[in-house]
Amino acid sequence: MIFRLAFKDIVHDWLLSLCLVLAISAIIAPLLILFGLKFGAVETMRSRLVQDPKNREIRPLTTRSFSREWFDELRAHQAEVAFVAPMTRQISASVMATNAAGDLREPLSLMVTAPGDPLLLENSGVVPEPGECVLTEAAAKALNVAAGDQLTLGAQRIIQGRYENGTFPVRIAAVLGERASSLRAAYVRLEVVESVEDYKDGRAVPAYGWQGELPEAYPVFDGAVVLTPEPLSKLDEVLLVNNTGFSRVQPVAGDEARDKLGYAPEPGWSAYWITVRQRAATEDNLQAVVNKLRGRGAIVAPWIEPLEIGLTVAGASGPVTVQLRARSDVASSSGAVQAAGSTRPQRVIVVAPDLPLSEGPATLRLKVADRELQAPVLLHKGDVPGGQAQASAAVAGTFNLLRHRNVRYDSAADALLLSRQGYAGFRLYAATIDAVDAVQQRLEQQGVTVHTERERIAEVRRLDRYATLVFWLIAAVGVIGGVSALTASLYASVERKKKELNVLRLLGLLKRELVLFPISQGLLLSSGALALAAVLFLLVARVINTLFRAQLHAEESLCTLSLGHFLILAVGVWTLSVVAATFAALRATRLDPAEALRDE
Amino acid sequence: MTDVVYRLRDVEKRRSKGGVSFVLRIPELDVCRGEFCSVVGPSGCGKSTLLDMLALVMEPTRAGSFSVQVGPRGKPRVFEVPGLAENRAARIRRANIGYVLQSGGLLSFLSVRENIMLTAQISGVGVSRGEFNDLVGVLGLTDQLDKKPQHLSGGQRQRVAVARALIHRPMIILADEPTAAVDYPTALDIRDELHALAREMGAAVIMVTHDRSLVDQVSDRQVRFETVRTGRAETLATAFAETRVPAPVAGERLARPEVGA
Repeated sequence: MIFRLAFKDIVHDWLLSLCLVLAISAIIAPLLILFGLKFGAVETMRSRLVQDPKNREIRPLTTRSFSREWFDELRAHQAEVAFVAPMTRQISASVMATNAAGDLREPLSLMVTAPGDPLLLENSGVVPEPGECVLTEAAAKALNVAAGDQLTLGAQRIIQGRYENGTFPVRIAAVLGERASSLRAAYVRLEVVESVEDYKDGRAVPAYGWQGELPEAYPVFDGAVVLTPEPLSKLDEVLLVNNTGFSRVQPVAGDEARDKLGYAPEPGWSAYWITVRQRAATEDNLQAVVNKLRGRGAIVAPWIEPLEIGLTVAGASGPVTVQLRARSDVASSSGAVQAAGSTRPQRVIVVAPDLPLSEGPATLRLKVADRELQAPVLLHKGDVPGGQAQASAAVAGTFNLLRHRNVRYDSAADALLLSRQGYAGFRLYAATIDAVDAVQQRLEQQGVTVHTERERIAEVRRLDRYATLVFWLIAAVGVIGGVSALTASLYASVERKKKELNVLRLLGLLKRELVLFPISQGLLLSSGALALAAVLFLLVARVINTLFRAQLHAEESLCTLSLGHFLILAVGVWTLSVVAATFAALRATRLDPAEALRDE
Repeated sequence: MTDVVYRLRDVEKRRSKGGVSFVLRIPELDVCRGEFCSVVGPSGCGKSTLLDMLALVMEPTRAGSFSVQVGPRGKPRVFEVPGLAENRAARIRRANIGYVLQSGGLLSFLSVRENIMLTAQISGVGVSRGEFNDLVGVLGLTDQLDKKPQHLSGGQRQRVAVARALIHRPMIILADEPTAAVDYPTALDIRDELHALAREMGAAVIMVTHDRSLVDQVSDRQVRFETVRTGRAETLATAFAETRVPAPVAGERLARPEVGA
């Protein structure tokens, strides 16, 4: 009933009420517009920062070799790192692109991409499959091509004073939006960029039929057994580890020598086990030992720690796991080592007859730490002294290289090739703009200097902070003014209505009931003012957003407030109106019903 | 005390204003249900002070006994006025007392209909459409219901005030100079309507007026004041109540409207 009475009173004094509503909305509306501008402008900049992956990009400023393990370690920080891909040297990543008609040629930068690349995925792109590329808009315009067209990419190198060109076709999977990059660039899989770099470095790329050197894997050993007809003097023992690459020499008894060699040495011969520390022995190291013992009739038998390999014969079910040893009788002081390494050895593995493996082609799978190799081999059955499987020192030693670096099987070359050791750079995107700092710090702690949009992010944050401060200062002044105006008006209203409120008290209204009269009026008037201010805000916001439409992207607004903001603001205004009405309410409680009689 | 709504014995109210003291003394006053009690006297004699105390908005300074008996006829409750809590007093007022103030005391922002229904709403008393129509019909307000009080004549405003005072069927009606602002014939009409309607519902009417001739014909009891100066700055007013037999004077009609007829 009190609320109804308060409403009736407001309607009755509509002119005064309207003036008050206008006065309050004149305070609220500018605050709404100010808040809308603050929220709209800063939020637009912030969302551009957040939404545009470019702002999360972290670019290396220094070139150094980043290993695969380094990338794996970085990828493990999923909360900070959204995407990271290796990059080759920039100079090796430029190609000449020719359109299908052959009339337009443009140099393009090759960029590595991979699944999850935010620059592509958030700029209307897709991650290209092998044989595909994604172009930036600038590149597509320059070549007058579109998604679905074919391109020919070409790399050039100089070999012995002659220019050579290697080309390969790609299909354009997508063209990125303008926002992505202003560069003329093609995004391709890592293998493509690696191939181009290999080609430019003079190496062969069998996948594209490009001739050149092959980075073939080479055998390495964990030690060697030296057999001599005569015992070596202490001085000779020292010679074995002097400038040979080996670091330790140890005489071994007959049984131990047999265990390592797989066969017993000639009776009366002396055996010495030479080993290296924390690295592998190469053929050159073995050759150095051979040279030291030249003329003494010594045998140098390379030795590897047995490798656990899985062998799968075509058509058979699961792999058979066996211990692979190097057959040491191929090496000798007469140059067998060179023979093993100089020509590509056939990957023959001799397996014990009792193993459930048939002779013929099989697949070898070898895993050492986090490195893995899979390669075709040829199985022979035969005598394997002291073991299950053995291969020539050259073949087993080449597999043994996997203990020290990545080796891959290249089917085009039918060879075990060295995988690259590292990459000169990377493409890296932080998970969020807030993670940019953390990733930057992480990299700089590793000595990797990087460039980020940190300053720009900080600038927007500063702007946000200052805008918030300015807003709250103005809002505070506005709120004080608004509350004062409402307080005075409601107080005056109680004074003006004193006679009638006295009558209500005389008629039996309780104090606490009468208190609701100014509070209800405060809420009603502020609600009216809020509604009017909201209408004014929407009109002005529309004008502002229309004026600045050219500077805004689609769905961006310079002046905007969400429904949540309105609700928070409404609750704030209502709360303040209750506070303002409290003074009037206190005045109402002091009214004396006897005044109703006396006023008459 | 079955029908006595007010019972005052040796009640005194002392007030001071501007260094001048005023003492109102009421040796004895009983007001019964259905009774028309007039309070007459010149300005400043203490009529309003007495009315304030009867309206439960002012406490006596001293009281031998001062009680008000309200509630249903079968189960009346007696409340001692001295020390009565403010909220209790308000609740007694809203349910049991109707007021007719000098210039109506109507709320300007409510229509006539809303003004009349106000006391019913405050007291929570249900009023049927028939009851409402009968009351406003008797008071000649049927055509004025949607108007605002400020658009009525003085007499109409007072009739609205009478209707508002009666709509929730109170036991007591306090009328403070209800006819002061209207001409004499209208004053007589309002007096008669109030008297008749209150009697119809068995309510006690206590009407304050300075015009004794207006109430002589209807008063069952009349309170008069005798004022003496007891000092340089003190006035003592004593209110004497006397029981009367109302005797209409020839030529002055007494309306007897029938409610619900």
